[in-house]
Order: sequence, then C-alpha cells, then structure tokens
Amino acid sequence: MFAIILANAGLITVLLINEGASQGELASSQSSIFNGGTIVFVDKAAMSNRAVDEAASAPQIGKVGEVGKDDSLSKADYAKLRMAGFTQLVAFSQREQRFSCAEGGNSDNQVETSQAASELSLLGIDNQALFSYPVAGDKAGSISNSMAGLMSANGGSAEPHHVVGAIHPATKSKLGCDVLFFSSSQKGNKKGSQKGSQKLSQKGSQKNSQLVRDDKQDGKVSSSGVSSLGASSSGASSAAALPTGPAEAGAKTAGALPPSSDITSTSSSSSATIVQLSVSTAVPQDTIVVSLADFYRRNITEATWPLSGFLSLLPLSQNEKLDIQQRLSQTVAFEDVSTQQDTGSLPDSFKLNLWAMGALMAVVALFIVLNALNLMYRTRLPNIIRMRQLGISSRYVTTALLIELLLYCVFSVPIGCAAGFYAASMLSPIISGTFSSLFNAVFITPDVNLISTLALSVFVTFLSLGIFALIPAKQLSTALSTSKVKAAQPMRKRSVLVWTIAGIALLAITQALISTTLHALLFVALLLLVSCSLVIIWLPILANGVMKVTPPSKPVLHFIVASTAQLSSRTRLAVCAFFIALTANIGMNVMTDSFRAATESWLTQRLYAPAYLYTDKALSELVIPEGVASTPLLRLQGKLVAQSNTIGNDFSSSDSSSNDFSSRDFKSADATTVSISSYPTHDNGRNALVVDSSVPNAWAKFESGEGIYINQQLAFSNDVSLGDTLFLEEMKAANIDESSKKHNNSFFNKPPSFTVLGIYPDYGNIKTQLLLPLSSFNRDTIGDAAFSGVLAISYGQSTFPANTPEAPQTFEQKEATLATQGNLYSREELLTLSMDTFDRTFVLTDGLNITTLLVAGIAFAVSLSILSLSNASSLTVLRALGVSKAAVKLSLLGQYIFLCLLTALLAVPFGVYLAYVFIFKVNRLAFSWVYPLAVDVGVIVSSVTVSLAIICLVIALPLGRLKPKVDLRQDAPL
Amino acid sequence: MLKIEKLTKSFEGVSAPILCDLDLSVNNGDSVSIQGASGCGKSTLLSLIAGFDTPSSGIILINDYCLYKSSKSSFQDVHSNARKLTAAEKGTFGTETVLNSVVRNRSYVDDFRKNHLGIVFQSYNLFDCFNAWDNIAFTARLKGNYNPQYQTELMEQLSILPLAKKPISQLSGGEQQRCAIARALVHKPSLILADEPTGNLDEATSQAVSDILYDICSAMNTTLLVVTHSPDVAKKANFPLWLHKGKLNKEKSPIKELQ
Repeated sequence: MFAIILANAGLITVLLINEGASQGELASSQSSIFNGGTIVFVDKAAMSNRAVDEAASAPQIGKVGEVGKDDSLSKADYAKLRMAGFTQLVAFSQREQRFSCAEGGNSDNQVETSQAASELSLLGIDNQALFSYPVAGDKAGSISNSMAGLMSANGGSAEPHHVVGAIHPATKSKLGCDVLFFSSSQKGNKKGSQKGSQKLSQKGSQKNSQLVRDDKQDGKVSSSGVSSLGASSSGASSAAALPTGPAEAGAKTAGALPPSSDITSTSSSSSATIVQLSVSTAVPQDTIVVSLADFYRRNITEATWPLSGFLSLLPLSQNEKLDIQQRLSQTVAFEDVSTQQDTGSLPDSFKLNLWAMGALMAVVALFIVLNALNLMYRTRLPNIIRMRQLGISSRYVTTALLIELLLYCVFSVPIGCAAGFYAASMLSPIISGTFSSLFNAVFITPDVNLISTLALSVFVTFLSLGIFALIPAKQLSTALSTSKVKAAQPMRKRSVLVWTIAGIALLAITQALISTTLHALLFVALLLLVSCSLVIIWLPILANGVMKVTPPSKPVLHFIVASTAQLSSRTRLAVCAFFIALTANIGMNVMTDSFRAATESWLTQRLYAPAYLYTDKALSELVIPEGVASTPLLRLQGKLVAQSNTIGNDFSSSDSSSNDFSSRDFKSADATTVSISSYPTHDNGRNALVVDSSVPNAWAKFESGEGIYINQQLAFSNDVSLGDTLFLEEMKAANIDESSKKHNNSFFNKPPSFTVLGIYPDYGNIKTQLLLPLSSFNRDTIGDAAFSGVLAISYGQSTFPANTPEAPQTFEQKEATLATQGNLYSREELLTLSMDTFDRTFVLTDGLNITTLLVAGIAFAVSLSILSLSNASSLTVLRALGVSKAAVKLSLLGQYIFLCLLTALLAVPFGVYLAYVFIFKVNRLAFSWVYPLAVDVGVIVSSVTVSLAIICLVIALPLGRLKPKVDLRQDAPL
Repeated sequence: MLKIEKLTKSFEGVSAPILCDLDLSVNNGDSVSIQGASGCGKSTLLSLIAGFDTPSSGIILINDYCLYKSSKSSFQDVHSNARKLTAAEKGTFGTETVLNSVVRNRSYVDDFRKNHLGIVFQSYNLFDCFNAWDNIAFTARLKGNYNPQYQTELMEQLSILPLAKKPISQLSGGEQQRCAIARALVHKPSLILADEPTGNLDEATSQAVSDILYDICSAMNTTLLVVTHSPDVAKKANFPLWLHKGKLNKEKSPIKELQ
C-alpha cells in the first residue's frame, strides 16, 4: 500500500510541477495592460544624471532633454487627451510600497501580520476608463474582462480601509497569501515618479527589461538591445553568445520578492489599509493594481504624488505619438512594449524535458503499482493455494483477491494524491524562486482541476490493476501447489536469443522510420518498453553468469550472488521501474554532459576575441580607442523562399526577383526566416569557426565571397546540403522598421553568393542562421541598421574602422572608454557566465530526474525488503550454520546492491542509447540541431552511485532492525 | 563431550517451565535419541544446545566450549557468557569460580556452530539458490575444511551423488533430507543435532537414512543427538531417552501421567 501511495504521490508531484511551469508560462505570455505602451513625463532632474555622451545621443520621440514645462502630468492633461479622442489612454500613478501578508482583519481594521514584508509596486489606474474602453479584439477583451472581474469580484471597496487589488498569479504565489496589509505612508518622494514610471513600463514588458535597464544605469552590465534576452528563450548555450550579465544574474538569484529585514508581527494601527487580492494575468509581476481612488488616500494626493503617466491600451502609431506630444506642454517619453519578446518563457527544450519527466514518472508509477500488486498477491499466495486445495473455485478466489487489491488502490490513490499535493505545495515556493532566478520564467502554484488530476492518478493505478488482473487469473487456475508457483521458468537459450534479436531488430527498424518529433518520442517509449523486456530476460541470466564466476570458496558471497539470481526473477517489475528511472537518469545525464562538453568546446573556440562589447549605441557613435581592433557583428534578416541542389549554378544574387525559379532545379522553401550574420575573415575568425562538414576549400571560397556557412538549424529544418544554393528575399536589417526597408543588394558591396560551403553547429540557438563574410557587407548603405550591438574587441588593426579618440590611451583607459559605451566582457567572463547559465538551466530537470529515481528506488527497496523478509528462512539458516548476524545483514545488503549493480549494468547501454536518441532524433527533429554524443564514464558512474546511495539509504533503516532468529521448525520459503 | 547441568527453560506466560533442572552427559561418539510427547520440549532442548535460544538457567558445556552459565540471581545471556574454556578451567569444570570469569564474546556461539555443530532440520532448510552439491559444501566452505573428495564419498554413502548438480527444488523429500544430513556431516562437526530427521520420510527411506546417520557419526566419533517420534530410529541410538515433565528419563513415562 505504501508503494501505491508513493507512486501516486510522486506522479502527482511531478505533474503539478509541470503544470505549475506550464501555467506560469501561460500566465506570463498573456496580454498585460501595459502591452500597448506607456507615456511618461520626462523629469529634467533625472535626465541630468545621465552620462554626458548619452545626453548627446539621438533624441527619442518626445525630444527628451529639451527644455519643457517642469510639471508632471496632471489630470487636466489626461482629460485633454481623452477629449481629443485618445480614449485608449488610462491614467496611472505608481509608488513603491511595503506590504505584509495579513492573516486576518475585522471591521476595526485590526490585522495580524506574520510574514516578512515585501516591497511591491502599488499601481493606481483609472479603472473607469479602463473598463469603459470598447472591446477591440481578444487582447482588449482580455484586459477589460480580467480587470473588471477582479475589481468587481469582491464588490468593490465597501469599507474605508479595505481596497480591492489585482495581482499577478506568480506574484501571489510568491507571497503566499490572499490579503495584504500596508500602512499608507508614502515611500520616496515626488522624484520617484519618473523612476516609478520607468519601472512600471519595464515590468509591464518583462522582468528582464527592467533588469537590463537597471544594469545599464548602474554602468555595470547590460545586454544588447535586440537580442539581449535571447538566452532565456533559446536555451542555455545561446546565452553564451549573448549572455545575461552578472548583475542580472545576481538580481535573479534573489528569485522571490525582496523581503525586508524586519518581520512585522504586531497588530496594525488604524492607518492600515487591507488589500483584498484578486488574481489577473493582465497585471505585471511584483505589482498590485488598485483604482486611482484607492491609490490616492489619506496623505497621498495628486499634489504630493502626481500622476506617473498614461498607459495605452492599444499601441500608438507614430502620428498619434506626435499628436500627443504636441498637445502636451510637458516632455514625455513613449515606451513601447512588445508582447513578442523572448523573455519569461521556458526554453522549448526545457519544456520538452518537463513533459518527458512527467511521462517517465507515469511509466515508473505504473510499474511500481504493478509491482506492489504483485507483491500483495505473492504474500497471499500460500493462503490462496490452501483455499484452492480445499476446493474453492479459482474464479471465487480471483474475485476476492481483486476486490481486496481494488480496495487497496481505492484507499491508496487519494492518500497518494493528497501527499503529492502537499509535496507540491511545499516545493512551490522553492521551484518558483528557481524558475524566476534561473529561467526568468514564471512558476505558479498550479490551479489544477482536482478531478482531472485525480482521474489521471486513478487511471495509472487502475491500469496497473487491470494489467495485473490478467496475470493472477491465469496463475490461479494452476496454483494448486507451492511447487508449481516456485518452479522457475527459465527461458531457453534459443528463446532468449530470439527475443533479444527481435527486440534489437525492432528498435533498429523503428529508429530508421523516425521522421517527426512525435515519432521520436514514441520511439523513446518503445525503447524503454523493449529494454524492460530485455532486462526481464537478461537479468537472471546475467546474475547466473556472475554466480558461475563467483568463487565458491567464499560461501557467503556465493550465497549472495546465488540468492540474487533467484531474487531477480521475483523482482522483475520492481526492477523495471528502477531500470526505467535509472536508464532515464543515465540518458539525461549523458545528454546533458554531451551538451555541456560540446557547448564549452564550441564556445571556447568560437569566442575568438579577447573581449566583447555589448552596447545599445549605434555603430557610428561608438568611440573605439586607437590600437583597439573592433569587429562588429552585423545582422540582417531574410526569408528563405527556395533552394537549389544544383552545385555550380550561379545563383549568386540575393534578389529573388531576378531569378526564374521555374527554369532551375530548385525546391521551394516554407519562407523560413533566416538570420544573416557577418563573420570576420581574419585568421582568428577562421580558427574559431567550428564546422560539422564543409566542401573542399570552403574557407577560401567563403573569404572570397563565393559562399556561406549555415547552421545546423537551417540545414536540418530545410534539408539543406552542402553545395546547395539558397534564395532569400525580403532582406532587411533587424534594427530598422518596414518603412526603411531597402533593396536586398544594397546591403552588400556586391551581390553575395548563397551557396552552402559548410554547416556549423549553433548549440541552443532556436533560429536558422547563415554566415556571410564581413567584407561582403556595405557599410555605407547599411549604416547602423544592421549592427547587432555586439562588437568583438581585440588589440591590433581594426577590421572595421570607427571613430577614435584624439589622444592615445593606456590599456586601462581604453577599457574604460569602451566600458562607458556598453558592457565589456572578457572572453573568460563570457565563457564562465555562459557555462554557469548552462549549469543552472538543468538544475530543475536534474531535480525531477532525481525525484523519479528516488521514487523508483524507494519502491525498489521496499519490494526487495518484502521479498527478502519473505525469504527470511534462508537468512536464519545462515545464522544456524554459524554465519554471524552482521554477516547476514551484510549479505542482505549485498543482495540489494548486487541487484542494483546488475540493473545498472543493463541500464548503462540503454541509457547511452537513450541519450543518442535524445540528441540525434528528438533534439534534431524538435529543435533542428545536434551535438556530439560524449560518453563520460564519470557521469555514468555518478548516476549509478546516486542510485545505489538511494537504495542503501532507503534500506538502511529496515535492515538495521532486522533480527534473523533461528527456528528449528520454520517452514521452507515459498 | 556434551554436558548439561540443571538446565531450565521457561516461556513467558507459561507457569511451568518446559525444561526443569535437566541434566545430560554424553561422551564423544555416543548417540542419544530423545522421544517424547508433542510439545514436551524436545526441539526446545535442541535449540538451547545449538545456541538458537537462551535458557532460563543452567549450564551447557560442549567439549571445551561453555555455551551458558547462569545463576539464579543474575542470569547473563548466552552471547555474553559463552567462551572457550582454558585448560586450567577444564579441570574445575562446573564450578562457580570458573564460570564467573567468562568473558564477553558475541561471535563465540556463531563460531561454535560454524566449527563444531551440524544441524539436520526437520524441514531440511536447504538453500533454494544452490544445487545439491553447493548446499552440502556450504558448511565445509564456511568452516574452511572443504574437501571435494570427502564430500563425494559422503554423497555416495547417502546415494545422492548423481543429484549433485540438480536444483534443490527438483529433489524429493528423501533426497533433500539426505542432502541435509550430508550438509550436517561434511564439515566434520563434533556434535550433530537432528530434529526429526526422518519425520517426512517413508518407513523404508527413514530406516535407510537413520542407519546412515548413525553409522557415519559412529565412524567419525561424532556425538549425535536425535529428536524423533520414530521408535525404530530412536532405538538405534546408544542412549534412547524420553523427555517428560522437563526432565530426561531412560524409560517412557506412564500413559496415564502423560494424559
């Protein structure tokens, strides 16, 4: 029964963790009330703090920096704009406020707080304007519905000290309470308005945005504008090229809301305000939204705390922005927020991992329950046989047995589910913090459908019962004596060989037929199934083989091995659960280790420059000290419309309009968007380029502009081979909008050739990409448009001359000059950051993996204990023959460990094979990239060691209590 | 030599002791059979001699091994008191002075069983995981005096040599019992305890097995203590005894009294 409870608890826990991650991602991806952008007042004082060189940069819309009326935005401005037809604007004001969880409140406004205070943004909005805005499309509908729902859910603010607030589910999950309490004292001063409004808009977009902005202001680290956040979306290794900064990492590590150092535990005064929380994904994280009326209470008035700005429910066009600016006397800044940023979502590979872990846990749970039922059956077998011998019919006995097992399942499932829910709720804050800090993603305490979750658990349990029901029914019909049951049915050698060959052949054939991700995942299931059947066949054979080579002169050791061989046939189902968990563990670890090794090797080679500058500035504005060689990374974007597999065809032009595809040997592509990156053709660049395959003299041809290198993603997803020629159109620079789109050829000095010369690995990147020689790009026509914000820095002649300061500088001065223009990373820093990010990315996967292994290990150990205790007579005979108690216990432990080792021995090849399937099938088909399989013995040994440690840990307690007592009249074991 | 003095064994919740001041002295090479009514304490006596259980009081000495020492006032368990007697102590066997000086040695009884005791269980208790040969060889290997030649001869005597490679589960009851006897003899113990060794065998097989057991023990100068319900098996012993009311008698007790 414990095993069934354990299986269900483990299953529910893993499912809830997956659900929390999925719902968190869904919540974070839904429309926010700030997705339309914001209009904020630009404070001159704040502007004066900006660096001088930054002040000289190109002004944004609204002419930041110009002298304007030194007033904040007012209700009059708000009314003016709305009357002018800008009804999509909603006034808001924001301040930082310290909140505490309130455990209770009453009419006297006395609340008890017990948790650490957390600082959140209190955001007051004109809710009437928000709710009255006509619904225009799903997004607006979602916004108004959710906000209206949350505001009206509790009937509004009926009591003077009670307000209704909306909060993001992830924030609520982190706080862990439904009612908040705060004292109405303002924090900061009026100048905070500007800062607050900036923070608001950033929160409205994504947390990363804020962090990047903050980092930049700190002058420490920032990521480049367009792709600074690519790391979190494109897997760990893409963080390498464009890493998250250390300051960001530090900020993320905190994970949850920043608690204050003081713990409040007293009753509040009458100035306390109680906030009834209602959940809405339309609210930014770490923010509580209330009505403006509730925001301006007591000593908080518009005079002391002016409006922070206006949020726009729909994106504003350029003309609208200009119109708004003209109507306002103040200088305002428009902050657009894209809903399509790659932040806040888990990497696809990680989501696949979560899904796989859930499926794995379900299979493991299935085997555990099956094994538990089998053990129950075996325990009752002597009585069943006696009843059968006394003439009770097989049908009657079977029915009685199944009813008993059914009752066990009925009682165990809810207990297991409750335990799973409890475990998940206990783990939620930890996981939430992990998600937030590691992935910049959201994990929320899942809002689960209790019935469906229970149904899943019940399904797994009763599926096991259903499968099991087929076995005893058959066995019971013949189980009239113990000898029949005891008699082992070893397979003949020929049968073993036939089964083995058939299994391997089935895998080989099926593997060859894999063509989609679904096929690959089904193949993984088949692989586990076939490997389980082979384990069932081979485990006793392997154990017997070991027994034959064990020296009989060591009788106790000989007994351990022989007994294990016997035990192995009785513990097949438990072994299967443990085997699957261990195989998956080895497979995942080998895969991760291979990924890590490949990424580290690739990065080490690919990062050729001593330093890299990440900047938001335009290329033309960068000041490069004399003696510093800078190589910019230019990036364009194009659409792959066709590809030719005719080597030697002169399809050098990127202008597809001039190509007559109908007369060529080509195949059309699915208009895949391709990122076109520049690549330096100097020696360092050549040495740094890691390729999987290439045509002869590829580099020379590349250098002379005769072709391109493409990444695996492009090659695999579009079936591009070496020598193929690609046709791209709608080429544009990522940094310019559609209105300034230029003719394709205008980006280049001469029309480049898009003949594929080589395919390079691009680990973790989710985008298709090709490399063009840097010399092909025409700087005059591109201008700053194609600059990606990344500059490789080395010391020597610049390959792409830029502005230089007038006076010569020392090395430190050069670095300082560069650092003022962005974030300067050394190669080593980038490498370390990237690998750190990589390692942290897989922490949770490893955790789930270990959880599954732990559950399977516990179930395995429980099964072994039960079987061993049922076989205790052998142990007592050992004692009777003079073997010491300690030696008997050691022999029992030895049996467990030996069985584990045998299982591990079989799990290793299948685990490695599983890793191969993960890398070369699942990963390739799902994400279009692969990496070399690196089998590190240390990784495998560590996996096996962990599993052995779990087993030893679990059985240590019952083994310690074991007291084999000799009895002359004991029965022979069944 | 097996010497038992004033051995008493009581069970919790039972007022009368099952063994009461029992005395027994058997020389090396002698055989003793013990008969008695079911529940009279025959197997309990064997368990105490084998060190499986602890007596309430009394002394058990086997050759130069002292398994138990106890006094009415301070009983100490078997494991803490058992030890090997020194040469000097042998001369003062049975005196309080000697027995009070015993040292603690928990592995002593295990060592005694491994080296000097052979046991034949009523239900054989052979290892399922071994074949007949390995089952029989186990005790010799454990003791370290494994001799394939001797084992072969022993198995030939017991007519089980052809079964050497067979799994235990494929042997009949008689064959298993003979294997159990071989296992008890193969490491050449000084004392063999047999608990109803023929209890599961037919009469003919029972006679054959008991003959072999007695003959081999006699030939090896091994002390044999057999608990049996079979008069035919019992009468083959040098000293057929009856256990009644916790004491050993040479004569069978009156039926009336038993009732």
